[in-house]
Amino acid sequence: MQGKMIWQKKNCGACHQIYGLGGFLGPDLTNIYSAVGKGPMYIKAFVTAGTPVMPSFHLQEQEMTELLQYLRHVDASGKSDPKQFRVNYDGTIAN
Amino acid sequence: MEPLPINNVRLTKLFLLAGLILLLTGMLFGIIGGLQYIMPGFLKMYLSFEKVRPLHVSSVVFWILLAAMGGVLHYTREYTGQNLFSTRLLRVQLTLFLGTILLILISYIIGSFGGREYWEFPPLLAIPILLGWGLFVINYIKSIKSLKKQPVYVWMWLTGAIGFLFIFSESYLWVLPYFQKDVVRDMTVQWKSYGSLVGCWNMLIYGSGIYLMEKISNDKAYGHSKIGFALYFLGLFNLFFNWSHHIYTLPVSGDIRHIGYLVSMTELLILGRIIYKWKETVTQAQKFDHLIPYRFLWAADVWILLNLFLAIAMSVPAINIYTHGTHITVAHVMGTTIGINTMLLMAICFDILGENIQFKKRSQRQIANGYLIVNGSLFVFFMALVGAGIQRSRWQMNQDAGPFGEMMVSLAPYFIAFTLAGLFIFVGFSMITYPLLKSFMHSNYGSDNNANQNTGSITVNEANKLLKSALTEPVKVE
Ligand code: HEC
Repeated sequence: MQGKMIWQKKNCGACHQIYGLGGFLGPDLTNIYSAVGKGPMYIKAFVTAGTPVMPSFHLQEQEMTELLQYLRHVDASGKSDPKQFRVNYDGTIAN
Repeated sequence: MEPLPINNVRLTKLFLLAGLILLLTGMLFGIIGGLQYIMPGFLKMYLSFEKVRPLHVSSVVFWILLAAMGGVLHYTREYTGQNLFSTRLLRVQLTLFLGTILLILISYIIGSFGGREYWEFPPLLAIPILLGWGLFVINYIKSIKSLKKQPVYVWMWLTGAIGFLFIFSESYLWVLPYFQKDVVRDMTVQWKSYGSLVGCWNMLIYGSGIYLMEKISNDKAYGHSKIGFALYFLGLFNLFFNWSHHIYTLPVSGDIRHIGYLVSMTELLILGRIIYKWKETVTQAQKFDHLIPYRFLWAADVWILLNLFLAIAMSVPAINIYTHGTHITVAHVMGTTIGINTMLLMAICFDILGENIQFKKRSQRQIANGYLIVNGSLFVFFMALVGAGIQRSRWQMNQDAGPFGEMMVSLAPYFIAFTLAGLFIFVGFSMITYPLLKSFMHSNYGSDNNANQNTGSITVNEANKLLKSALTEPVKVE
């Protein structure tokens, strides 16, 4: 899992969440890989160019591929949207 | 009684001193982080947010850890009436921690990460921390000698110290491929360990809080009482099993959620007891109000109450899906680490660093004002985060919510409020700690005074009298 190490070495988690855990400055990226209108090229563009807040990261081609692989793995592991849950009267939740 | 050698005392006090400096530094980074929320791009070239956040978090986490260790070691010595097992271990422990903390802060500044939330530094630096902690455990166990008939705080210190060693290691399981290759498994272990780590440092700090309360009130009953031990076991149970509210919304099995939910509800017992005992607490507060350490203990009590409400609510899965991933979580973390941990540690710092120090009236007033500023602005800080969290939650749960950036812009008033409140918390804590640090330095690191001080049960009564008369005399304008 080289991609996870890139996520950690660049500290993306300081600003972004996975499953609602992480920083609060940028959006949750759990399902960015499969989001309509987003996906790998979109991610690549953001990481390379940055935003007024997010730095531009100078990743090598190989590193970028691994980072994308990691985000694909995260995306495939489940959905982070809290709207998916049904609330029961005893305070439990189910999806 | 023979006076004890002073080396131990000097060193245990240095833990607190270094902790206080880290607290002030950490708050400065916090303010920069807050400014980056309200002025996007602020300092981006030099210290962008992914550097500022860990600088802030690690500084304050090490404030908590250093002060917690310093408090335990100092009180252990005071409690046993004997020097700690090894001054050399103590020195190596302190050097390991200070050296590593320095390296960690430098690594953030140059943008060298590799760890994860809370411990973002390169994982190799976890090794000296683990080693240093190991020395702490050895020194503590060897100094306590026997566990027979020991009061509850001795057990709490023991549990917290040993627990941290194991759980800190657990939080590094991610370096193994088995954990690393599955993000859900990895995050589950990560947040399980973090929940328990906080439980461990709470054991250390609450233990010292109980010790200090006994010292102030001169009533040693609680430490050996059944209720004291019952609450300790409840805390221990929660330390091990009360963590899954961090991960309710991950794709984990329903059982994990149900168990977590049930375990969390045992905290209602603690909440109930506090409310039941509240009148007693207030009466006691009136009695000891003139003692600086006591005031901080009292503030912690109020914050415990407020935070327990929020924590228990957040542990109900049906509420958690609204609060998870929002600033309500941050409110909870800030409320507990500042409101509870830092208040208790301030009490400990004033008790230990401030022993034998007679504050000038002006300093006393400054401390009292700082105390009010800290608590008042912490409340604003807390509520601003709750407000931002509610707004964010509405956005998260809205079927046709606008873009993320738009939501963030709408939160600006809350961010401004919490940054300003953060600034005031810093000002308040500076007002509180400045006279303490100054007098402490003047007393030659407390060593001269302490050379002829052994069991430490210095005359709480004497201190009472002195402070009381100082407070009742008319205040001179200087
Ligand atoms: C200093 C904070 C910061 C860091 C560090 C950071 N980002 Fe961002 N990122 C942001 C912000 C803020 C946005 C949102 C911009 C907006 O929507 O206005 C963003 C947006 C994104 C987006 C687009 C999200 C969307 O839904 O449109 C992606 C993808 C992204 N970041 C990936 C990353 C990755 C990968 C890393 C690590 C290599 C990273 N970011 C590090 C702050 C950061």
